[in-house]
Amino acid sequence: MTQRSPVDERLAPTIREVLAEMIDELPTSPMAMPPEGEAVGLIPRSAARSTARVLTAATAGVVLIAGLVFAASRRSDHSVAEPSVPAAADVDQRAVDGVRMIVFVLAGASDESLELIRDNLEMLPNIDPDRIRYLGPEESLDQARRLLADDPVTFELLNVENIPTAFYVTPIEGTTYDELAEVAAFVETLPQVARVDIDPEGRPSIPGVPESDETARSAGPTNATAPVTTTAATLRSTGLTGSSRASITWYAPNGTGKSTAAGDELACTAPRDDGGCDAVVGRRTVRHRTPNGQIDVITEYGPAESTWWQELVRSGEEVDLGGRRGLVIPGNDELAGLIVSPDTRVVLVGEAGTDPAGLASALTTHDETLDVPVVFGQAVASEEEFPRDSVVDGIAARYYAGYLDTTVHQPCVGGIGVPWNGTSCVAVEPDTLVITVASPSPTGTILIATLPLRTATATVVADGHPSRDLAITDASDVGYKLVFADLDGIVPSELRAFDQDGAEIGRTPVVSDGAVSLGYLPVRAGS
Amino acid sequence: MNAIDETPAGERRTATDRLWRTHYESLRRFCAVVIGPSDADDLAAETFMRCRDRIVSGEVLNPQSYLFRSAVNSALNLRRARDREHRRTVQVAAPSPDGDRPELGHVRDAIRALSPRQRAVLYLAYWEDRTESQIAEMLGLHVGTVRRHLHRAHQHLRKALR
Repeated sequence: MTQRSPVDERLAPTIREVLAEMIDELPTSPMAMPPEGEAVGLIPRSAARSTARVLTAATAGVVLIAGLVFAASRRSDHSVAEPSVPAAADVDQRAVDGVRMIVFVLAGASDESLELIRDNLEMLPNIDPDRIRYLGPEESLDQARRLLADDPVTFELLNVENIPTAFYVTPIEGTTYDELAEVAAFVETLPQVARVDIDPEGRPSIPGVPESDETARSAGPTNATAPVTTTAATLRSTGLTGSSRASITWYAPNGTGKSTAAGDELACTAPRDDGGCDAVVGRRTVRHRTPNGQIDVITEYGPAESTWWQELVRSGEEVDLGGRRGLVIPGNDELAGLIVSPDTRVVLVGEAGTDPAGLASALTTHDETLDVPVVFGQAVASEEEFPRDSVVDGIAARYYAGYLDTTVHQPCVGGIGVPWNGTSCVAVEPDTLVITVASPSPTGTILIATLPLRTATATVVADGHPSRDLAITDASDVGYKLVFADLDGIVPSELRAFDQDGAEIGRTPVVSDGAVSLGYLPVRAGS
Repeated sequence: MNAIDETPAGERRTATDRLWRTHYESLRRFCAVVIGPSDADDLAAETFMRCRDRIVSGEVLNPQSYLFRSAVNSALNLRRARDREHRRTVQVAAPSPDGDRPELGHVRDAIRALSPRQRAVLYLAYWEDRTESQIAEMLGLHVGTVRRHLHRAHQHLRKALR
């Protein structure tokens, strides 16, 4: 065991002073310690009250009770048939009879906001305006007391000031789940509405979701970088100076894209057994300065296209540019395109003072071998697979995978895909258990993680589901073992790694990176 | 059935009580450094609530390590979300409160610029006086990784003090 102190004695006083300052900025400890003799029974409540004081966000109460009503209601419905299901939680049956939608309103919402919500509910299709019941703070607290009968510590976090109030809504008979979901999607946009729960009863099965053994996939290469021969497009002309401005970018269907890591250029999606690579995605940009401005020569690889290219295809016309098929838009003297090969395009974008079409005619290409990061995990063309609940405006996770980039100074692991292409590449030390992408949601969960090198097996644990083994991509030659898991509707709570003897090496909780930002979008029927 | 459901309520409350008493304050301090004082209470409370059942049910061998790791993971995620928010927000410069000791402000800024994991390592080394191997065990890292995190943190801080 290393016992050496890691402290730099010269820095220590200043660092400790600043740390003390940061800690001192915390409000006075919320935990008032009761006398020892009174600890049992008192402290959990004291602790809970203290926690309630720090759970100050208006949405905190929603997190604690949302989803419970319908869960308890279903337990009650099934309690005879399934005697093993715990029946600890109860609900106020007067409140829930016929109710299929609950609109949670932020604590402290004004009377005007409540009125607005009620007015909207009354006017919505499929809602019975005579069967909308509002539970104010006191009634909501009573309901929570019943729901959390077996969890007094959590109940103690709630009070009339932080509990969300709620509208219990009954639709007209015959309203389908999808119709109700449509209503819920609208109601969620109203001011002061924190969340809308709908009864999952009647929810249609989701087509195309693979069986569980198909989903925990991490098939992929064993190398983390691959040499690839790509077409490099450059302008060779006097008066131009070039500088590489590298970026790795995947494009959403609408053409928007985001760089994921400065310094990266491309990623390999089809590595060969010999370590090479047959297909890449991404783009390379070389910016040239001209006497009166600048021009970017962007080589795009892969099936997806940038906004520029889409614009050229939509509004441009085919022309001959230096003996190649080119695209220009009449009246637009700042944009030109070239088709180099089926999966390689070049876009020239210039600012005032440049002539992209003229420069495109002078463009030369040559082959260049590059080391590129490899995409691990099976790249999934997932629009069909992905549950429709996550499809909004036709956009779903159309393509996703993990990637490990060892070409940068600090290797990083990230996820790519649509609409996750904004997720950054997270620097990860080799041989560690780190989750870099997690999007736990009831419809589509992607989990990308690195594992300790001696990991032989890894599992995710999910409440209400058996543990699931994950396939591991072995990139130990460059210091990593990796997991790319597509868990569909499973919401994992923990990732665990085991060595070859089955002994646990480590575990880490799965924490969402913010469901919306990672692509889980509210239920929207008919998409 | 979840193991926690089989635990008598009284035992569970006592276990929660013990967990709270033993670890909550240190978790708050840890969060204050890892995420900053203004978000520390929310991060600590959220971490505690999320990890509580699993720890109380006896599945976790080292509760403090589990809480700290969970907090760092949450902090990483929160920071990513904040970064996105930050990019959309105009920053307003605030006057330095450090008077004649500007180096404190520089060090504070340098610490804020560290990654949550680097901050976590710094806290455990300088505030809790842990050894490298203890920090490694606590955060589920290799000793070499801890050393590298500290090395980088020191580099940043030395630069800030120049």
